[in-house]
Amino acid sequence: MVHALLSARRVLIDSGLLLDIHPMPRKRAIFCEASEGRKAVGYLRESGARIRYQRAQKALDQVVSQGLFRLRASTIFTFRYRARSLKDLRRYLQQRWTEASVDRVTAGRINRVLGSDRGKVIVLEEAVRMSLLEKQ
Amino acid sequence: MKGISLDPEGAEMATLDGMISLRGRRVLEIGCGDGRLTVELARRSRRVEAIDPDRLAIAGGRRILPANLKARVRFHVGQGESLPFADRSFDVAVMSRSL
Repeated sequence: MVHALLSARRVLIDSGLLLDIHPMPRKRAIFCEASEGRKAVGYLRESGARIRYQRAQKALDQVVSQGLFRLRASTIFTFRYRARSLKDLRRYLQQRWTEASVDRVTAGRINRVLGSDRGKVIVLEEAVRMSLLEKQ
Repeated sequence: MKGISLDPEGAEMATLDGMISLRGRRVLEIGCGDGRLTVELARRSRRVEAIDPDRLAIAGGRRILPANLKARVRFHVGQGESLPFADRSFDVAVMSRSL
């Protein structure tokens, strides 16, 4: 990870900027949402992702502590994935994410909350950190 | 992808816009994946070079790129650890979920 940051630093002009975006090492919550509000139904089951994001943050901290970059700004925002059905969400996870799934208990809750109401959607939420670093 | 929308509120780009202006800048996107962010970066900057090791994802990125942005973006298959670009050739490097 530090290797990629050093490679990015090489191709940046002096005082060039590096923008890093990566999820926080926290559980991703799943909700069912309708016009009358939303209901928490569980968390995404994941293995490995949290460790990966901890390592990403550690790599950023390392290049800052080494004086290669200076941290100019950092903030956390919520990134949402909105799925029309459990099938759509599962297909997306299977195709795009590794080591992530909706377990049977959470799936059961989703099916109960969604029922036959076609106006409801499933929302997967993650906290994401965006950091702006300046090449030193 | 059918049946799912990513960041429908536009929180990611709103946060980015609040943090940095890309206007007139040469941007390198490391780990561009299927080009979802590339399109938004191209809309805001002078030029984007987007690189990812996944050839299929790059092909997807080329497909979704609007015609009016094609001249501003070049996709490359490659690794972030060995970037095929000259020293000091970009104003901004973006790494989204690629560290």
